[in-house]
Amino acid sequence: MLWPLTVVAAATAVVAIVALIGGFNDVPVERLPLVEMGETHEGSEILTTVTSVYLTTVNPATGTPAEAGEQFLAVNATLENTSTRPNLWQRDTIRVVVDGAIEPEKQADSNVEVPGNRGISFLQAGLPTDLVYLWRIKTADATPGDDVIVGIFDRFRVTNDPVFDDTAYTSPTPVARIVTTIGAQP
Amino acid sequence: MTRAEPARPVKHSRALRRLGTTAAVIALLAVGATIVGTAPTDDEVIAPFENVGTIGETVEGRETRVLVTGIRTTTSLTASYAFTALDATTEGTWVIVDTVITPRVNSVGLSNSELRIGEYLFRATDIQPSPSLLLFPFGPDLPVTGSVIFEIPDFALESADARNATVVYQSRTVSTLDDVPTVRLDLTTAESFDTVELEAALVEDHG
Repeated sequence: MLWPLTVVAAATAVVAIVALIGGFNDVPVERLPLVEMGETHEGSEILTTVTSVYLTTVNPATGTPAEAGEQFLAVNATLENTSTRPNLWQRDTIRVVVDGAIEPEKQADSNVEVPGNRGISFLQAGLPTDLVYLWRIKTADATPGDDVIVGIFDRFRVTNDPVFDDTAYTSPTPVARIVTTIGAQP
Repeated sequence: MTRAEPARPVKHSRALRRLGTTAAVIALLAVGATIVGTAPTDDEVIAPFENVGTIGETVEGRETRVLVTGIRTTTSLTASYAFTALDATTEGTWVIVDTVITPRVNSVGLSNSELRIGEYLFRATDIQPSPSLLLFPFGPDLPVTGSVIFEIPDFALESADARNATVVYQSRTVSTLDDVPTVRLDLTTAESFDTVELEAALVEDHG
């Protein structure tokens, strides 16, 4: 009855080989690079400068008040499309995490240009544009001084995608973060 | 009896044949590379046909006839909207292309119109009160006066290419194999205003 020994020996050999080539090593967790508030992050298509994160009960672009029991978390940012063509991607450039109030996968409820109160559907080439991103949250869910992480996202060109050959870009990919508190000044 | 030595000229002719074959292969490769290098790209193959005209000239496309009557620049735009209490004033560098558009087949919206300055391509801004030339509710053969407006960076307006800009009037992002009116503009001749109040597009009164 040598076969059980053979199986154990083969399995041990496989495990040993996997271990030898590093299969059980810890996968390094790469932390996203930090940028400061007011510092410009250079993405593949867009320069992003976050200038403030704050709570307000009045939509800073339209002047309309929040619903009763709600407020806005607002992120002001200046974006510049560095290509030579219009860019339709500004909505996904910024997301936030506020513990218990805004999950990282939640896209902004709106983003509009300020001043001018214009909903913006694209970034014109070479034109720095001031935008405010707004998330509607409950009044009790966040107060000034709470921790907030502002994520800056990018997308990258995809060529010859093996699954969908018409895929042109990756999904929004976080590339940098700002760790700050709500209401902090740059 | 002795075996005859191969004649030297045969060796020469083999060598010449090899040389000829090599040269032919190199020439064919060069021709192939030239053909590949100069062939139109996929985008060029399906590019729209641009019917080009100038200011004051009626230019026809499949969907529309276009007449540019003037160009203006300003650093401040104001718009009043009929259905909201909000007025919008916005600062920037704006190029306003005053245009008469006549749909030919059906009502059409020219929301994907472009201003090209050198290698830069700028998209028309939807800031005008409704009805505008970008969202065009009128039918065939009704000429409508309005403007197509572009916000552009200062460097584009100040560049040498501003003398040879073009506006492409199109309803789709990609007007594949369609013919589209295109108007050449010298932006340095544009009339400059401190502020411009935008108005809704109007059906032309021909009396």
